[in-house]
Amino acid sequence: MAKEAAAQYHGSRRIKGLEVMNLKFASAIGEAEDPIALQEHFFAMGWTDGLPVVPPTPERVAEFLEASWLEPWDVICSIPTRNRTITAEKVAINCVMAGCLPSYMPVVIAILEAMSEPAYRFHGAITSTGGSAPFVVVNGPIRQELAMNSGTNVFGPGNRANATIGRAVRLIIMNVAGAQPGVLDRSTQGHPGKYTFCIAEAEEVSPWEPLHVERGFDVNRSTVTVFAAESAHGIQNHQSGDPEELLTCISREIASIGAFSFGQSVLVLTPEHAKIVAKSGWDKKRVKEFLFENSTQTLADLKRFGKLPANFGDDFRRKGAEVVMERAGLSPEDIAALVEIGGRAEAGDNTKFSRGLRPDDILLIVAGGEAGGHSAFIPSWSRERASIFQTKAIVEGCDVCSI
Amino acid sequence: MTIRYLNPVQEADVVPASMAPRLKSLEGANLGLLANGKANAANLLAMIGEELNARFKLGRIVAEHKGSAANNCSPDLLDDLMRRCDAVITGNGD
Repeated sequence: MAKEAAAQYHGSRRIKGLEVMNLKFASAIGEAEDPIALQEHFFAMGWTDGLPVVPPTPERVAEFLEASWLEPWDVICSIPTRNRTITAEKVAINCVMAGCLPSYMPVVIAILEAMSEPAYRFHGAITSTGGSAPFVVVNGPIRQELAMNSGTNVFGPGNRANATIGRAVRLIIMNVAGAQPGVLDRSTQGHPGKYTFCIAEAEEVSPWEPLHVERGFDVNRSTVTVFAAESAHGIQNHQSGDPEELLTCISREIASIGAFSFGQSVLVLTPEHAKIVAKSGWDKKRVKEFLFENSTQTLADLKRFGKLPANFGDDFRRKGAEVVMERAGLSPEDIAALVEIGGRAEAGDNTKFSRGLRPDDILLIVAGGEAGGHSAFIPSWSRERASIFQTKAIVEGCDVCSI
Repeated sequence: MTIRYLNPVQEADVVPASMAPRLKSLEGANLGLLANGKANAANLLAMIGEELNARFKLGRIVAEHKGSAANNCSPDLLDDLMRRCDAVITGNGD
């Protein structure tokens, strides 16, 4: 049996060997008779993802806070729609439970900061029937510091940092953001990425600049890029050695009718595919432009397969439509693009529409084993533009502490 | 061996709120219909508005749309509805 009391833990905290303050946690302290009783209590309370957890003892939680130079009460972010404030203490507790090392905590914090940007739509992305998962790409030197996997079996099991950083985010979504499966998380099906969905980019084998540099960060900074993702689609092509042929194959998958929307996309190119394209002199910009131009569906097919309402176009052009899109949080550029798309619908059923609104809606990275022609397309959550991917710098250590 | 653990759950920040005063009747009242952004919310609310108008002979129907089900309604829109309406119905029609 486990029991819980509204007690508070008081303990000392040491930074660089000096005792600097007393810790006082806001969380209630519980007691369990043994490890099995603790696991059973956590399962019974709905505090896990269905797998056992590491006990979040006060001592272990304190280690995580120390590693990230945070006080328990420091606010990491808030979710106004859920009336939630996420503190460092709760982040640390759930990171411990997920099996993280203390050094992973700054990555988890950066992910939460990215998700709390208004354009990410934290609340919608974690509760919608669409069943998305935060897909995380880690860039920069921290990939090596944490021994993250960007290579063979990159989406699969076997790497502690990849597995537990993504898992920690899921536990925080459930326990801190309040999206319990079946209660406020109303995913119709969800997908396996909801257990964990975190990888590093294979910057060393990529023929192009890494994602964070493309997004304006210095190559020596470490970042996370977070994308509200549906389930990944595999793209298998072992035969093609021609960039246009290969990218046309990939475009067909990006345009797949079931996943089609004007939302964003992730393309995880395997090193083999990236080399085939790059050896012909194609840079990232050209690849993304080609994919955007060729990931299309006709208006006739979108109607034929029930992907658009019969009054498509009017939705974006009717009186007040722009105000509604603005209230939905869409950027002026996206509103203008959707209005333009609405206008194009008048040209008739043969009109072609690309997935997304522009080439930069495709987040292109390189990852995976060096052998094999297996890439992956990951579509965005929502029927339209409900969530926009976000990149945040990972803050390691304490820039302002002098101790 | 007793194991001590910290509770991982964060409760919502609860702000006490009171119910708006009830109307004695909808006769002649200005009714707001606030769609939540889901595909059929505005259609569903329009049907409800028509039905209520047939029963109570409403004053004016104000149809509004908060943009996205994933966002809170903007305070400006709520203020506007308060000024223009005696009662507001909101709902989800996916």
